Amino acid sequence: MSFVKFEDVSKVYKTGSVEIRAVDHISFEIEKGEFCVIVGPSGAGKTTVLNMLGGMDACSGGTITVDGTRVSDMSPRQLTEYRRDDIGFVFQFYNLVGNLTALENVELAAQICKDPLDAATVLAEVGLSDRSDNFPGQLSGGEQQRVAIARALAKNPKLMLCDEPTGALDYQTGKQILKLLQDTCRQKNVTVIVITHNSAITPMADRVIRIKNGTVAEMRLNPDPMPVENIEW
Amino acid sequence: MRALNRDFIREIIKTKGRFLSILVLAALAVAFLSGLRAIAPDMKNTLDDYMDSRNMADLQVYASLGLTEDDIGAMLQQDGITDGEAFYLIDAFASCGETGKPVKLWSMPQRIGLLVIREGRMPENSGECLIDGKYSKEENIHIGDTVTLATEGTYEDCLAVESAEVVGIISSPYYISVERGTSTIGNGQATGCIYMLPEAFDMDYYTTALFKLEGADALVAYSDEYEDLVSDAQDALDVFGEERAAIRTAEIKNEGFDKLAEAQDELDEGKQKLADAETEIADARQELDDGWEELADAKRTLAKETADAEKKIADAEKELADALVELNDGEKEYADGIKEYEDGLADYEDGLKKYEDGVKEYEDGEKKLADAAEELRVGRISIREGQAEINAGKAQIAAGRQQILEQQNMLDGQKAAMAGMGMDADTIAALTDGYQAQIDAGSAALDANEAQLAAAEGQLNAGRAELGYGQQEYDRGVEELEKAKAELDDAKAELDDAKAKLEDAEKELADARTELDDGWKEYNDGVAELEDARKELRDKVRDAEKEIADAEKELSDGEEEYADGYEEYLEKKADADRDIADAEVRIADARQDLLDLKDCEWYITGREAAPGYLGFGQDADRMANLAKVFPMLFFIVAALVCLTTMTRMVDEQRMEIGCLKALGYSKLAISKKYILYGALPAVFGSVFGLAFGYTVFPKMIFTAWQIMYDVPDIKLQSYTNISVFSIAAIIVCTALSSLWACFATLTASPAALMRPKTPTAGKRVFLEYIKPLWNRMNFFRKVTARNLFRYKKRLIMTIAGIGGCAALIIAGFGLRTSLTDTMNNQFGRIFRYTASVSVTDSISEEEEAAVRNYLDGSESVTDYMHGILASGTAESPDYSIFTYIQVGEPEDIARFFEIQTYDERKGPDAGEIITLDDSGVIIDQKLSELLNVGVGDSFTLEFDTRRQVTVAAINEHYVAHYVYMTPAYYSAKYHKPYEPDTYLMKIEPDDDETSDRVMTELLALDGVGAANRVADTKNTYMHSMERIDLVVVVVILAAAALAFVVLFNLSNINITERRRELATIKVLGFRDGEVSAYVYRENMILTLFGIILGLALGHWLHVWLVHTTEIDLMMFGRNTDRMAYVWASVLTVLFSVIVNFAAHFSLKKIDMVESLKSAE
Repeated sequence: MSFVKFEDVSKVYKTGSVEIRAVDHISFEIEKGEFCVIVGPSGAGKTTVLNMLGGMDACSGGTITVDGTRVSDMSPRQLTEYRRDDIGFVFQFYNLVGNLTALENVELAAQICKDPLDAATVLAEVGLSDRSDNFPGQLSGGEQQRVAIARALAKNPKLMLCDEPTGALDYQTGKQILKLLQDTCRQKNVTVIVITHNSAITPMADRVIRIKNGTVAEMRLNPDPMPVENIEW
Repeated sequence: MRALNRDFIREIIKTKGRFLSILVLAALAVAFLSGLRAIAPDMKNTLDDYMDSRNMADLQVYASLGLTEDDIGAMLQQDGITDGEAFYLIDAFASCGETGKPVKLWSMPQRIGLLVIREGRMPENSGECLIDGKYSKEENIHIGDTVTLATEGTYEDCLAVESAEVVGIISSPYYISVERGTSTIGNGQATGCIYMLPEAFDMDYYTTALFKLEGADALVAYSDEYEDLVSDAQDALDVFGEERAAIRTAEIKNEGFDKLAEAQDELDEGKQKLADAETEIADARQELDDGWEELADAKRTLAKETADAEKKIADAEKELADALVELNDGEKEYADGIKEYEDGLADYEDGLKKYEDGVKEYEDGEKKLADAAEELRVGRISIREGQAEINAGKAQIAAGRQQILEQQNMLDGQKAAMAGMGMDADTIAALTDGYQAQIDAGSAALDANEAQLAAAEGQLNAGRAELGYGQQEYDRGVEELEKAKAELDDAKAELDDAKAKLEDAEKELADARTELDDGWKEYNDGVAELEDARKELRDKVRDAEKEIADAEKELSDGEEEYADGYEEYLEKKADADRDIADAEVRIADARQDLLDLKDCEWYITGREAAPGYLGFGQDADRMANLAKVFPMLFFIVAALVCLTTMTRMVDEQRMEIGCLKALGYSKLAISKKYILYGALPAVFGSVFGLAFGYTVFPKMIFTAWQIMYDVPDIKLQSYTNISVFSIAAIIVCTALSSLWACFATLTASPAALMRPKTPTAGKRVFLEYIKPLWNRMNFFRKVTARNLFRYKKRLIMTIAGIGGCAALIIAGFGLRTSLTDTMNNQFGRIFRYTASVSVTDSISEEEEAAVRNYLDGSESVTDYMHGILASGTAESPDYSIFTYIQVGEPEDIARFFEIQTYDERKGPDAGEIITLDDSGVIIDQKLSELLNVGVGDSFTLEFDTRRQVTVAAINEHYVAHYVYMTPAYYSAKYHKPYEPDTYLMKIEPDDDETSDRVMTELLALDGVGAANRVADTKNTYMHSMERIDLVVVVVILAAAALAFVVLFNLSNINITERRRELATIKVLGFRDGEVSAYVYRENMILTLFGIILGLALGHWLHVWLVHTTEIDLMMFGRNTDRMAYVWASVLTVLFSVIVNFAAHFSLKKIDMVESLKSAE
């Protein structure tokens, strides 16, 4: 049974008489524990898909099922709970709370979910235990993103959603982050979905979904994903 | 530039809401400023127009002894006086069915102080009147009703009518407030004013006169120029006034003395009349008495003489009675005599008859004898025989005869004896006749026997007898004949004797008869005389009695008349005595009064004499004071809002600004947009604000004033200076705020601007260094703590805004309690008495004593003191103000006033008791501030004369100014004897009924001039204080507005600024409630700090507000009530909660997707 299932999902923005179909009858499936990369040009609808998947946005049509739960039918309140306990988000621009230290940022997430991991441990896992008392303003981009990942991981989520996690980072740091994500996926059996417009990353994924103009242009499985270190772009 | 302008215009169109919010706030701020500032001049102008349109007086003259036509004429001659009119103005009771209440009764104004007819028409005769609207409403008297008027006391007999029909309802420019002034009758407060034609009054002097000053109309009421004009005129007319007053005094005194002389004459006349009447009565009495005496004498005389006469008559009667007896005896004797005579006569006759019979008999006998002889012869024969028997019988008969003979002899012997004894024939006859008769009878009997014998002898005797008898008879017959003859001869002799005697007796009798007749005649005469005498006596007595009765009746009538006359006299005398006594007293009093008559004094006042005029000006001033403070709040709010709005806008447009800067536009060019964005709505808003402010606010507030004041609708005006100031102020406010908002941004480098704004760097808060506390804080608390200090501007603004709101609420409520405190302290604690009563200058000893007696005797008056309560002016080199002056003995003052020191910080009733002594005066706190004097300093106190007085102590006092001094100090300073003229008293129970009764009773006493109840003063102030409530409401609303606006804006900004952060935590799965709480916690803490700040500031704001709204005549309590703090906290928290609640919805609306969108 697929872990994540999009069935004929659409997202339409209506402004007056103009209809913008951000996502147009998309259907795909993702298995548990997979490292999935959703790739497509800017404005293709990738972020929209991620948002709907992450319960941040409602779909205009179709059904979204995650681990058996009909996410598309959930009320906002239920979605909040869903986000709280089951989803870990990583943003392109980190979105850490600047007023909290790295550890506190992770704790922020940990303190509200049902079954968290210990914040300090997770932070250590991302290799930032010695930066735990620093404010985001005092951290570099990569460190910030790592904190963001730690924050997402601390929630012990079913699903990790990453929206262009390396977008604001340089090549090396980017790779580090991707490696972290891959390791998390492999070691903790967390389903990781990464949105990117950088097709060069796709070899590292178990599944690649190519989205174009709001539809799935291509979905292929990768039986033999490449380790991140080997990817060049 | 063009593109930039287009951008600007589009910005406005795009963010209409923001633009409009600034516009509206600017409009409000300007409206408040211009509106509140315009009220005072509008009010004064409106009143000035009203006064001018009704040609209201500038000066009022009141003379204590009245004004004459000459006075008016002379006054009109004075410089600066353009017109004048004199009025009758009296205190009277007016009623329409119910009990009368004191009113002010005026004669109709013809030129000055014209009335405004609201309903009805002007009166056409003295039986019609006009009444004022307030009076009409309160007493429910309407056109067509008849009002009954009555006067007493000073103005007794000043009215020519007793009632008047209401023909119109008016407003008077003299009475612009609800007050109608004090009255000398009733309970001392006039309830209304009534206007009547001069003909309705019966007075020979005017009470007051109103005058107009040259140039006064052109000036505005209450303005300095106007006040100066009036006070200059007053000063200039001082001397003139004194002169006129002196003239009046002389006039009155002369008139008075003339009248006294007249009265005295009349009195003397009257006395004389009374004396005459007395004399008349005395004379009448005397006459009557004499009459009675005379009558008594007459009665006595009558009685006496009657008695005498009666006695005489009685005697006469007795005499007559005796005579009668005598006569009767005589008659009886006579009658006896007659009888005797007649008996004798009868005897004689008998005798005669007998004699004749005897003769006859003799003759018969003779005959018989003859016969007998014959018979005898005859018979003898026969008889002889019988004789024997008959002889026996005859012997018997002879014996009998012998007897008879013997008897006869006896009789004859007796007769002879009798004759020998001297008895008269009558007597003898009388005596013997009987016997004779007996004898005769015996003889007869014998005869009979003889007859019998004879009869018997009839036979014999008839024969014998007859013979014997016959013989006898014959013999006897012969004898008898002889005897008989003898007898007859004796008898004859006797008869002749008897006859002679009888004739004698007859003669005697006749004499006796004559005597008797004479006697009877005399007697009858006597009786007749007596009868006459009696009759005479009766008549005379009757006449005399009649006379006496008449005389008595006359006297009785006379007495009745006298009695009636006397009664009348007594009655009238009693009255006359009374009247005379009264008149004497009155004359004496009048003389004393005249001698005591205080010289006429002229009082020249300005419009302040009209009740309510001063108050109106003060109310306008109070509005002006408020206008200084209040609008500032709105300006602050407007500035704050502008600041925050602009800040937000600038933040939002950072990138654009960066762009423009990069493009090379100057700071000025860029900032122009924002400055204009702030200033432009301010300008448009001002226009609306001015329009609104000049029309709505004055009208609104004045409508409230019109409840208290009977003046025309407000005349709205715009004031250039106010307008310019307002517009300038708001533009500066907004422009500066905008400039400040964009300053930081403008100075930053373009590159920095174009980058997304670095989230403010996290910083450790000082709290973290307090490790024990920090470690114990729960995670979210730590977040809150850090967040609090992260946004400093927000922190400051929130705390300031909340603080301001709380402070305002405290000030607002505080102001309210200040006022009630003022009233409660002043009238409940500081003034310890219920009422005051002042006596006139001309009060006499007895009248004064009567007042004291009343006060001593009244159950309701529990305590009283005697002192002076006057008014004067307290002056310092550059300030002067009206003040009361209370002179009294320290012990009295201490009982009637609570005088203690005052410390503003400690508040009311927290000082030490000050005892008045001779070292100086005690003045109140506010006065010392106004005059800028402290203990030991001196100031000028004008009170008849100007003197320097020294401050001995400063006390707590709130309403009006009071200067206390001892009588000794007074005398020493003012060089006048201490003549107390005011009684302060405590009345229990302190309710309307008891106080009214005491006031009325006191005012009814002679010599009592005015009465005032402290409660009434309190009410007057309370009424004006009530208007302050309006102010308080405005304050509270302003506070609320401030809180809301600030909080709302800040809250919004806060949310906007942290949108990303908030979206993130939403994504993280924070529930809506948790997201809100994330923000609330901070708000709440800020609010808490804000309240604490506000509570701290509140008291100062309160004091400041009090200082600015206070008028010089009062000191409001400066103590802030605890409840104000409670209210402030509660309300502020309430506002916060409401704002936060609104924010919740904003937070909910944060779209995670949008908010997290990168700046692409």
